[in-house]
Amino acid sequence: MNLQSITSFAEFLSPPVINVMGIMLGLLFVITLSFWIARALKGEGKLINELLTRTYSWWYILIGFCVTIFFSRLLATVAIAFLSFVAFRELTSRLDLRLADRRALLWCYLAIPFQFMTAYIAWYGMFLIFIPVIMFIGLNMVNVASGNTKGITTSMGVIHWSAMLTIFSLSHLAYMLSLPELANFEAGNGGIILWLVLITALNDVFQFTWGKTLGRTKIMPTVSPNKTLEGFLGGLVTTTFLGYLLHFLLPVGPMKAAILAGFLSFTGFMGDVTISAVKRDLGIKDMGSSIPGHGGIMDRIDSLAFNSMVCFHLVRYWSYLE
Amino acid sequence: MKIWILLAIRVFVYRIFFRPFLSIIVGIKFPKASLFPEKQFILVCNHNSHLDTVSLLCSIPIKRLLDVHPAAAADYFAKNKLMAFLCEVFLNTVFVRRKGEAGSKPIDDLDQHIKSGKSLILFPEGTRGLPEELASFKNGVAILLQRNPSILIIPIFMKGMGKAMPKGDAIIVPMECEIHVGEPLIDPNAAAKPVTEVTEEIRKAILKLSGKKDE
Repeated sequence: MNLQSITSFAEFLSPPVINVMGIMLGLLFVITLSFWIARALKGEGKLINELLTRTYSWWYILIGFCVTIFFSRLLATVAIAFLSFVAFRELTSRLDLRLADRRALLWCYLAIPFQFMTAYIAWYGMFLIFIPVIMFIGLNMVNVASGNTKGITTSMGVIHWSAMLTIFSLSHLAYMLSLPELANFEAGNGGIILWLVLITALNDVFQFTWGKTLGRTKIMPTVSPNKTLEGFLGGLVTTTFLGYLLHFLLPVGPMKAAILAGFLSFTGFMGDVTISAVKRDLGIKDMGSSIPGHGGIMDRIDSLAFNSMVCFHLVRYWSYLE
Repeated sequence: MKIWILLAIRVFVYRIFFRPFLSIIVGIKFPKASLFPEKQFILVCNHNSHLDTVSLLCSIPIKRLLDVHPAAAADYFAKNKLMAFLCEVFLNTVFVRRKGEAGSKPIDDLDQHIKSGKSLILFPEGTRGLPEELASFKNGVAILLQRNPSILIIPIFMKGMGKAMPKGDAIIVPMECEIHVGEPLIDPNAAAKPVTEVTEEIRKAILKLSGKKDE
């Protein structure tokens, strides 16, 4: 089967996307193989087993991502909607909400299909205001109507915040696929989403790696004791460079791609420490246990939640408005 | 009704319908089936929601779907013949007449069921309480253990069910729930101890599963 016949039934599998995807799968294969070799040489150990569990989870994440996102826009929208549903459920399950908040939560769940429908049909105005404006007013109404005022201020804040962090933010990923097709942009809309997810994930990896190897100065000791200034700056530089290298996946020039990647390195870090701070407040180590070796969904998508909004709006501003 | 029809109905209801719905939509994490011993047992659980019984029946190994019986209050679940019939077919219930009803001997009824080889699901709090709060226990389980020393008492703590579907609310709102299955409780001297002490032992075992210190 040649490339042309694959791309004919897959909406977002353009040649640049396939190439980058191939490199990703190849890299993960090499990493898995080297861990296997390390285990065969040194024998079983706690560290190697943990690394392997994480790597196996990466295989599931990567294959799930490739299979759901790039073949059909409808499938991709439904898959991202489901991801945000699970993330919202995980987050609100940890927050120790009141029984009186159940109605407000129910309305948030009902809002998920509507929000992703606006992304699917590219109803931009409604997409932008539905959760920040309409749900903001509606949730307060539902909360007040419960008649139970004890702890209502916290609930009003926390439920809407959860909806913004999981439903609103991830729906931007779905909208990326619904942006109008640009002339002379070979990678297509699948390229944008691939670039974003890759840059976000690699930024996490490089901030971690630089922090482990060079880290000296703690950057936020009370929130996340493992985060260092060296890790943050190392990640920033590496991610900016990678964003520049992979600019062909975006409908913007190499310089703008580099700037955007640098931006995402910063906002990804912000998303990461935001969830860390919440976990610290709640006194838990992980948000859940649904991904072996990684914790919960929110532990994995914390940086993506912020980055999807930033990336969507900057790319849209640069390429689709001017 | 023929046994294989009953089994087919329950496998369909619990394994094909309820279990995927409860785990994917509601967010219940089911325990491994291997945590349930193969011998006759009594599952002793906290009770916050109608989801409790259903999710326990989704958790037990398929071959136990015929011999594990939740005990249900006759005055609530067997109000009329149709309801009683449906409960028996779908939930495999044994009915207990609560105290205050004419001729009620709830413990003797349950004891009979155990003597005839059935495994039971019991909620010693007696009724559904507030989420994550363990009310005081009734002494029934302790008496049953004293009369049947060889039976395995399995403490179970369920978390979150009362928030997914609390008492007095028919709407299910997704909420991650956990089912913690404890080690079988073995106390060879149970018969010699006062009933309240045995009850307290069982309650402590469930409290330990909840991760909370005694209040």
